[in-house]
Amino acid sequence: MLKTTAYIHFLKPGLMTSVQDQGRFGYADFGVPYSGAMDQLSYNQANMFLNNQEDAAVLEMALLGPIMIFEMPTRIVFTGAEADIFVNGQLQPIGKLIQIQAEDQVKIGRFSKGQWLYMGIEGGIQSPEFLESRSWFPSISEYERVQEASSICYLSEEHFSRSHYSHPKLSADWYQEEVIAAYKGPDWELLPEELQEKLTQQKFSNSNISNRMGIQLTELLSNTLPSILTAPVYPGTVQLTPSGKLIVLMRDAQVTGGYPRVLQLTDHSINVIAQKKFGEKIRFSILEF
Amino acid sequence: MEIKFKFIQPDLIEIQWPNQINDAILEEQLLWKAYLQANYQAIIYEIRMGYHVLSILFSRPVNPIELESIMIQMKKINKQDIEIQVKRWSIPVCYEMEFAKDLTLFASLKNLSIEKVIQLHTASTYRLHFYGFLPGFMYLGGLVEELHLPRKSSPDPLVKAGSIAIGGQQTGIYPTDSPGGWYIIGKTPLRLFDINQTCPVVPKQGDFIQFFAISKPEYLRIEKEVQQGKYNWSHA
Repeated sequence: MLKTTAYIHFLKPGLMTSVQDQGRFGYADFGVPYSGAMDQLSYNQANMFLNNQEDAAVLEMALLGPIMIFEMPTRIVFTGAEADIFVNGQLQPIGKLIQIQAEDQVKIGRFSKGQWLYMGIEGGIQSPEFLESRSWFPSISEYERVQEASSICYLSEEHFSRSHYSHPKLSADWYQEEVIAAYKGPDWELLPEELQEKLTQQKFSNSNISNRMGIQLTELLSNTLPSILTAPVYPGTVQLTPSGKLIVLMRDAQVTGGYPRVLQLTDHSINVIAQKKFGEKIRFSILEF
Repeated sequence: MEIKFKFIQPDLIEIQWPNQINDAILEEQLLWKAYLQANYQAIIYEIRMGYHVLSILFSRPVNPIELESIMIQMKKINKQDIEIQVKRWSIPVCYEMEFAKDLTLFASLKNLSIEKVIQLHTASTYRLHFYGFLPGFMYLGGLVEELHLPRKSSPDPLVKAGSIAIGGQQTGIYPTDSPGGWYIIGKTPLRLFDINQTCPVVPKQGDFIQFFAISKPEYLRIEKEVQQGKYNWSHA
């Protein structure tokens, strides 16, 4: 099948629009974070629906979405957050394979459920790879976020047979759960018993201090733990700062940190907490193994 | 040395040494890391280091019996059996005002002359423990106590790449433009993180770093060589 290089032109870039994939692995020794889609479950779904390679790059969007024009035909699918997705003015649901024609306009409006929306595209976004990944990260990739009036590249493929697509029903139900499963972090034992109990019984909520590096929780713990010697951290590590703030490290997290690491979230819990909006309640549940 | 092993999650193990920054711990960490990478390559996904921690992420869950057998092997490692190559690097630094916006303040807060600060900073040999914070940011051990100073109370919104700084008990180089709370005492024209190289950093964990003072004309000359890809890092 003939493939042609084509571009998506951004009329409006949106607030936090970037290209992401599985992440950049094997470079932590040089201080390079993993990066990658905040919600890997929705990222994987997008590529699965399109029959893409599992590491194909997608567009990640949050809060205020972009307006974009496609130069050539392709197929796209949206996963993750429930948002108002307009294709040429027509509302489209997440999970539906959408046939795009040349000059079609896609506009992302209000987000109703979830924080991160993914747009998978047939064959994946073709932006350049840096250290074996297309995920955008400052000082690694050329851009950190999609810029006003910029373009990104994809491969357009003409389909001669009009195949019929089934439409998997996607919903936001899976990230409505309150329970965030976590392992005890490497510094769990430094916590006095009273704080260990609070951490697992009290409810917490996402604050509005939240980005691709981490999510700060609103509720404070009365903390007496000092900082630690700088030690390894991962996405999903929960740090306790000297002022009692809890920070859940996310995909762009540094590779090391100096605050006690009290919890370590499971992969699934990282996806769930990523999709929680400001003010949504969570409760940590300790996994023993 | 007393060493603790902790299972964090079924595929993540952390090894903790005593709560100290020193060469003996670093050398043992490097030895174990090299051993694990050479002998368990098939089941190890990634190894990360902190000052007193080795964090081992396996590519699949490991069971306690398996871990026990790995640990028994590790404790038997002989230093002579594994060769760890350690290099020494010289990094040129211009300490002139234009590149050292906090040097005067730093010297006065430490009650030292500017010359004394430069002399102390260039006299020591530093040890690269690991990279963290930013891509290409070196965590260096070995700053003399006379130069310890708590970081600034309000961080600078933008510190230029190449800036040499002191914060707390550490000295370091900002590899990229970034906000930062350390005192800027100089600048190197070298590139600490080069995305266009297969290996984006030059010094490796365990290597030694020494700074030497250069004038502004030398800074500009080296900067040009770096831009043209002609500069070779020099060994101390």
